[in-house]
Amino acid sequence: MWRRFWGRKRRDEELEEEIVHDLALEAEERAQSGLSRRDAECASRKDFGNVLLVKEATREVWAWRTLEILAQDLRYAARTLRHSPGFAATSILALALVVGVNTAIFTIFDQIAFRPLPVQDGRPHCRRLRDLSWPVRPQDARQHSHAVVP
Amino acid sequence: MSKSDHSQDRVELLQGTLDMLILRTLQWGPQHGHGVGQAIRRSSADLLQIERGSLYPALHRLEAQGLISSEWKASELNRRAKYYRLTAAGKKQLASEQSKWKLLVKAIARVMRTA
Repeated sequence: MWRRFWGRKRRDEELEEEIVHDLALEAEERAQSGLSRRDAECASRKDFGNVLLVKEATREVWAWRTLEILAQDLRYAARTLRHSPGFAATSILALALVVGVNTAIFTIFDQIAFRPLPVQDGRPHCRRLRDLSWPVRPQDARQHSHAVVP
Repeated sequence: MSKSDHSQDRVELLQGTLDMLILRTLQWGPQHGHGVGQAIRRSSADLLQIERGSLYPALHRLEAQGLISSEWKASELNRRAKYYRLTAAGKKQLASEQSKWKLLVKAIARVMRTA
């Protein structure tokens, strides 16, 4: 059970160990039937086939399993939501509203802060435009109000 | 090697039967991958030889499905080996596949007799 929490690397190492062990065992059996150690190992390896391909095919099983579990979870979620349509509708509506409001706010903020009006600083009419929008302190406002009037 | 000498005599495994054969083999007790392959070969009188490229994926798939479980134990080589054993779910699956298989064999035999 605890093996489930080990990562992919651990599983790869275990698969390697599994295959290496089985190869050694097969070589041992051949050696006992009278083959030299070297020939036995060679024959086992030949009989085994492409180790990399075998590993690849086994890893594919893991990948498929992960996808299957994901699909299962999604199906389960959809089924649960269908069981309580009121809750589903409320959450979907809330999410839609939140996403919409966020987009609207960001659009406004983007226009104001990130993309101010495409006018260059230093030109007289531009300064006037800015001064009008931010009369921060009263004395400033008074001072600037003179400047605004053409 | 005697293994590859009479490869013409071998039969192709029917699709989907490998899982059943593995479960059946593990009914006799925990076994590692090599042992499972050898057991199938032996009990089929060398007619069936399971390719490693099918054996390991099948074992790992069955384990992921919870039909078999595995543990690392010392093997006859005195090395760490992965031993697979049948779970309760695996036993149930084996029973149902076995009865389905018997039915299939009977049905096919009947069709082939009339032909």
